[in-house]
Amino acid sequence: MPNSLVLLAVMASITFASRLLPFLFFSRNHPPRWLATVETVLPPLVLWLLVFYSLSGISWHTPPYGIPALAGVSIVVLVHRWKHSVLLSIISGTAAYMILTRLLA
Amino acid sequence: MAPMENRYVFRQAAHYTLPALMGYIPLGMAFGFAAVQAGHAWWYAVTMSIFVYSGATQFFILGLSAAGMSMATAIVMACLLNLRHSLYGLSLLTKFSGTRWAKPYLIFAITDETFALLTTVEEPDPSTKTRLYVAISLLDQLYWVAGTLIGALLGTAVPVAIAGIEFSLTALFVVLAIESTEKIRSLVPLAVALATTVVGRLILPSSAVLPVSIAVGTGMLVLLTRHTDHA
Repeated sequence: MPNSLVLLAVMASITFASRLLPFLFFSRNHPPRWLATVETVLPPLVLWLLVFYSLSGISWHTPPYGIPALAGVSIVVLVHRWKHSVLLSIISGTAAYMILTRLLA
Repeated sequence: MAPMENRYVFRQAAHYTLPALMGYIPLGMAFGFAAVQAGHAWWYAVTMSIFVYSGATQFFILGLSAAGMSMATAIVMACLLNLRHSLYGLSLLTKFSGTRWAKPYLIFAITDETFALLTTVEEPDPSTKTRLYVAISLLDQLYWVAGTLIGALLGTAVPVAIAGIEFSLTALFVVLAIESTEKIRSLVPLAVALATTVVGRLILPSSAVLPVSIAVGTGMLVLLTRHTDHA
């Protein structure tokens, strides 16, 4: 438990720092332009890397050959492009994953 | 200030934050439920929602213990995952000027949803601005914490772990990735992420794939965007 409290404190500090930084460095309204460019391009890169990372435990050569995960991701993409509702996308994708995991087990 | 005016500001904030209420209660519930299912105590989930207050980071913390990521990698990932908050802050510099006592909390409480609200509500009267912003931010966090508590208690009531619930983490990352991709209208970051992951998994030990992908991918994107800037 103390370990997870340290983790929580570290993560809380990082999150707060990310919110605080622009206010510390740019008390007037002239942040450099390159910063804005880098900050718009980095989030999608990091988030896609996290998507792939969270899928890295899947074994593609043994049943169910990653089918539930691929289907789950596809459904999240389709539902989210369609409705743009965070919750609906997460629930439908996770439900599809759970159902397929059980059906193909 | 007159109490009646305060009540008016609060009612205004409650009205503005309705969409956040609809989003944060269920999403907070999903987080609280997933946290308890991952083996955490209900109060740990609630403490996270009070002090971290970032859906992506909190789900990421749940994934950490499951994936056995090293602390150093976890810290780098968390910094990058939170970069968008800095971006939001850049757009809120002017709005938050003159909020004095409330500024630290307003800064702490920047989330995707609150940022969207604060940048779309019409500029309020200067005399009520601070109180309206605080009310909006506080209500949003209240919804998030309340949702977490409900979900965590529900999770405690379900004694058996539901296999597959951990996929909600992947699903959340996909959602956030789609939204940030739509914002920049470019599939280049997706392509770079895919390429570095595939190549990395072929030539690197598995624990090095993520950190190396971030470093190489960032470098590639900085070079690529510098090119498109001139176009």
